[in-house]
Amino acid sequence: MKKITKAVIAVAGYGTRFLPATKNQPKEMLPIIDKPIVQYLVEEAVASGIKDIILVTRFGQSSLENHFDTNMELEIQLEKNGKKEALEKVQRTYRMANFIYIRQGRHLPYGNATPLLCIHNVINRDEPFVYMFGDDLVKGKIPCVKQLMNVYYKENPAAVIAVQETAKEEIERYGVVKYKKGTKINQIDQVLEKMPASRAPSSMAQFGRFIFTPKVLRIAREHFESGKFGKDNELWVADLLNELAKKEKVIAQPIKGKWMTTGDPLRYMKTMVEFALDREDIGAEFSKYLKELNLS
Amino acid sequence: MKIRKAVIPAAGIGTRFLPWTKSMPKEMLPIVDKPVIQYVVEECVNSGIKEIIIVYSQEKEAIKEYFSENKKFEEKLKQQGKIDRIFSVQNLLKKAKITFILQTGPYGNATPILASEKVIGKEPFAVLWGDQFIWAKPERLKQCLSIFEKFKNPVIAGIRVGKIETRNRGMCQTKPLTARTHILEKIWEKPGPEKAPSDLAAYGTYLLTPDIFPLLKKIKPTRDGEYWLVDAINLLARKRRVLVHELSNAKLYDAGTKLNYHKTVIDFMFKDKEIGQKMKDYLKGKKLV
Repeated sequence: MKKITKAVIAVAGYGTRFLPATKNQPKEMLPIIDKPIVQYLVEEAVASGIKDIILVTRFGQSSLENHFDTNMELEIQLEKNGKKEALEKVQRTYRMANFIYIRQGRHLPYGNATPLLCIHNVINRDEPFVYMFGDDLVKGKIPCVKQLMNVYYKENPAAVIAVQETAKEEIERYGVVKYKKGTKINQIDQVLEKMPASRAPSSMAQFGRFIFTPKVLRIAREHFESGKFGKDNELWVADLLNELAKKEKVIAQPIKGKWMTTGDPLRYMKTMVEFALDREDIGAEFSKYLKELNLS
Repeated sequence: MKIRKAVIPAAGIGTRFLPWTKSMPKEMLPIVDKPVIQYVVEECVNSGIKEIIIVYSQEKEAIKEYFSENKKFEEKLKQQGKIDRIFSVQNLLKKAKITFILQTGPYGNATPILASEKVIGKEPFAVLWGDQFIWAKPERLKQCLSIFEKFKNPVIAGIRVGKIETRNRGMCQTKPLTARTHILEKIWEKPGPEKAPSDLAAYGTYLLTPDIFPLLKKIKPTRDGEYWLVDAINLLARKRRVLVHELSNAKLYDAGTKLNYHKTVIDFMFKDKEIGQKMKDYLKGKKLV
């Protein structure tokens, strides 16, 4: 079986919900404490053994490319001032992986599967890879990507998707999975988007972490070329998975850890607070501050 | 003479927020959905200052970009029906003339002020830091401007602070003038509780007269080779009367440290109409507050 060494991260969204803050930076560059959101994703992939990070971007995202690059003037200044720890943080960003950037062209449709149309030149035939949405973060001891990779190596499926038990009132926001009857390995029939809790076939919501084989890429291309788009005329990962699951093994793996999204201001704020509370440097004092607010 | 111009230095590296500040200026840290520096620019405009000079460094093009028109992007937003989301920035660009000066020269916060000498000319001006702002009622700049207009002397904003804060702030040695306005003798940088001359800290707002410029050229560097505005202000205080005005109903929002930044974000997200209540409920539900 081929080893997984590449991760594709979709960061080509507009982030209009965060305006004006995102007027000249992609929303994946918004900070969680002292790192941009996208760096948490890269670190998760790297901690899982990934070597090549492929970022699918669009015009106007140069700050993202600069972030994972050297910054000579800054590094020289930090060195001169003896700020070793800061210098290490700066250099780690470009040393931890190889970074490959692909621009998503305007001729392509909208949708969370569209980046899959742009990467055929960097993924080999029969090479499995990691696919990540730029706005999902997972807090936990074992990196989420690693958990998916373990399942992939064990079961050799056509795709593995990450799922998490989700509260009833939230489930309608996400894609919910329908498990295949009589299989022991969490194999699925379908991902159903925006299902009200009363009609949802399970309580497991799917989020932005996947292991894909190039079979998914082929389906994406077929759908694009034949103009077969989903809801709102966009290209959706769920639609590709549903077609794949008809013939192949697609596993929905429940993830240990806590999935948090940063896709809208409210959830970004929640994530920011929870990550800050976990930090050794400011967590305790920040928690004290919150408690002293006496909101209740 | 009326103060018509404000200088906002925004050239320092944000070491405390590295690596985020590797490609983004610390002044661009978002407070919910607006960067810190926008609050400072808005305060200037609301206080009647229409000419704003932002002194930036090469790595901080993002600030210039943010406060510039971007036709392509605006067109895109119009198509999506979301142009209203950048009204707050467009509004500032309409109301104020924002000039950018690229900083060169030695380190320290005296350099950006000196860099703006030509644009300021021979008139009084305000200096406000780009990574902190003070919420006050009336606004801190308005409070200070009224004192400047009344006494015709340079004015520094002051706030009373606790003992621990004296380690991080410039502390004022003063003589009384009126109940809230004091005559400055000297600012002591980060003296700590034992050596602090008072509990009145100078807080990032300086209304200065052009006679500060020759003094900025006269000051000597610190051991690290940095030039500090406070040294020039101490020289100015020996030559002429400089006032410290104690702000009323004020709260400092400082994005300079991680902890203070998060406290600021919390306060502002609670005030947000759309997410404030939801965020409170969430934190209550998790027993975090």
